Amino acid sequence: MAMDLKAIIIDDEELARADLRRMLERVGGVDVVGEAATLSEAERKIRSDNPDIVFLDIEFPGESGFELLERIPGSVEVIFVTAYDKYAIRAFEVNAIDYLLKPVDPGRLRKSLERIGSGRRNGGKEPAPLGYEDSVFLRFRDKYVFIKVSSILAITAEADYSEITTIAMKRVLAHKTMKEWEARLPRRRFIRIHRSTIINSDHVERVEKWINYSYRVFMKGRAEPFMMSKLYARKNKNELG
Amino acid sequence: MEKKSIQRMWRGSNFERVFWLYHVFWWGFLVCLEMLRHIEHISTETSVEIILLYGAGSVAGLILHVFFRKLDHRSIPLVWLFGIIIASSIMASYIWNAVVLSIDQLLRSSGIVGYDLAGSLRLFGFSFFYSVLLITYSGLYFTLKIWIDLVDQRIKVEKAESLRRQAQLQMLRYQINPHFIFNSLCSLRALVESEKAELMVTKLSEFLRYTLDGDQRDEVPLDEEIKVATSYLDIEKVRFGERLTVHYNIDDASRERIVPGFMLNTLVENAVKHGFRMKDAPLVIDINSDIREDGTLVVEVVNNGRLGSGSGREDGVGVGLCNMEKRLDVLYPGSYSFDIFEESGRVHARISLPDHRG
Repeated sequence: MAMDLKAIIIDDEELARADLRRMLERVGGVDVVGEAATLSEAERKIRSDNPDIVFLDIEFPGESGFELLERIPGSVEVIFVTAYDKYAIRAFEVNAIDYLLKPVDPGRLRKSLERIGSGRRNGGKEPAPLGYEDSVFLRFRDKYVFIKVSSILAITAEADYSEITTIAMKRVLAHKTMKEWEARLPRRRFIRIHRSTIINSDHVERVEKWINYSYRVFMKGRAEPFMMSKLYARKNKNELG
Repeated sequence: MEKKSIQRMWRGSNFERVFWLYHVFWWGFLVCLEMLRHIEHISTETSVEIILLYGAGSVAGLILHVFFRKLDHRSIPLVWLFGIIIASSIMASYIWNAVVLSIDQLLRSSGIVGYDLAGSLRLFGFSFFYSVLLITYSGLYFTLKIWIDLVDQRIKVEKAESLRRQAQLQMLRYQINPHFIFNSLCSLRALVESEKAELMVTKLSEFLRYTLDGDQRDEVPLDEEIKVATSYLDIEKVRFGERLTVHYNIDDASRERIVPGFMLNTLVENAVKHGFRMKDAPLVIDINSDIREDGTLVVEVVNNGRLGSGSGREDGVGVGLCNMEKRLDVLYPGSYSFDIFEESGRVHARISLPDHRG
């Protein structure tokens, strides 16, 4: 017999937690080991109880469930729950993140649990192209990260993963190739200037001619320029003067 | 920048675009006609003259256009409009005549053209010919203008109507406050003890969510529509118990076909409402879907009621049916069919949709 999955329910409303607990009982295969009404309590419980799944509501007074993500280990499966938050739903959809709508439908709940049981990480859907106002959801090694697309300064390739630099000069690693980034980021803003570099054209300060038909691209707030190779310089003639 | 503002100006007035087309076509047509008339003895001189003649005419036409543009034809009685057209055309014809004569004189005095055009015309006669051409030109001009205005007007009304509907829907959505509703339903479900009540809350939530988000969508897989109709009917079954029976005869291949959102549910709601109104006996509803050999999707909702005098188009559900018909008209112009009819004692509401949108 398979072991029950250990779950924690995080929601500020007691009845909402009770409702989800009841639905989990109906579906079976899950052992609710804890509940939390605030994000800090949730963080503590996740660290001490080490659950397999966290059911995370998005709406908390004064904070958002998304904020918890960056504070918990990436080994925990998170299933988001929301009543009707258009922005959150959009974020889930573009990132192919699994989520449930309150009141949770038992059939949908069963499907989500089956997916986790079978070890698949996303809802089986392909992530969609991102808009400039969207957020991109990343899980690297043991961390969850949400980054606003508009706050990405540049992306550089590193072996089999990529490094994102934000406008606040924060650096984040991701399991994504340049090709995948190119396919998902909005084309009007993000320009590939090198085999291993994509930049956000909104934050270009100036472009300087460099040796052998290549260019140096200086970004706002970053002293070190990026190189634009001859090949990509020709392709981007129109975008970057 | 400049390009943009020009584009905007052009988009601003539909008639302006058509006017240039009409103008070029009309004067070009006259030149061709005249050329054909002289085809036997065409020479450079005659060609120059014909082009000069109608070139000057097209200038007169443009002058008329500049004048007409200032005219608000909608606020002028038709008789007045006729008067203005005739008077201004005659006036323009004098300008035309004067232009032709002076250019002709200029050409002759400089020795470029030897042909005595002015001499061969009688001033009065020719301006009469010009007048007739310009009156015809102006007449067609206004016919075109009024017609385009009518079309524009209709488009504007339709746009306003759809905007109004969207705004209304948005307002309703704000009033309902979905966030509050779904959270409350969630709490409610936690509080109820009966499993039947729990199920009803689940179905109601599902139905409500689809109503709030889905009914404006134009492309929904039939499968989703069936699920929502099932939720709706499950709720009704809790209300009516034994008095409502539903049979589903769904062809699996049809589940993936794309239909306008809320199409099936409109039929189903109609069937429930009228089925119960027309008789007291238990209501039996059949939901059928099938794909014909030519790819046509046929969706049918059958009930054992009777088609009374009120077939339902004038009351609340009737508005739903009318709206749906309007949407189908837009999405499948001329290629769909929607019928409500009685056959062997049962009322059928049947929609057939082609494989592809027209």
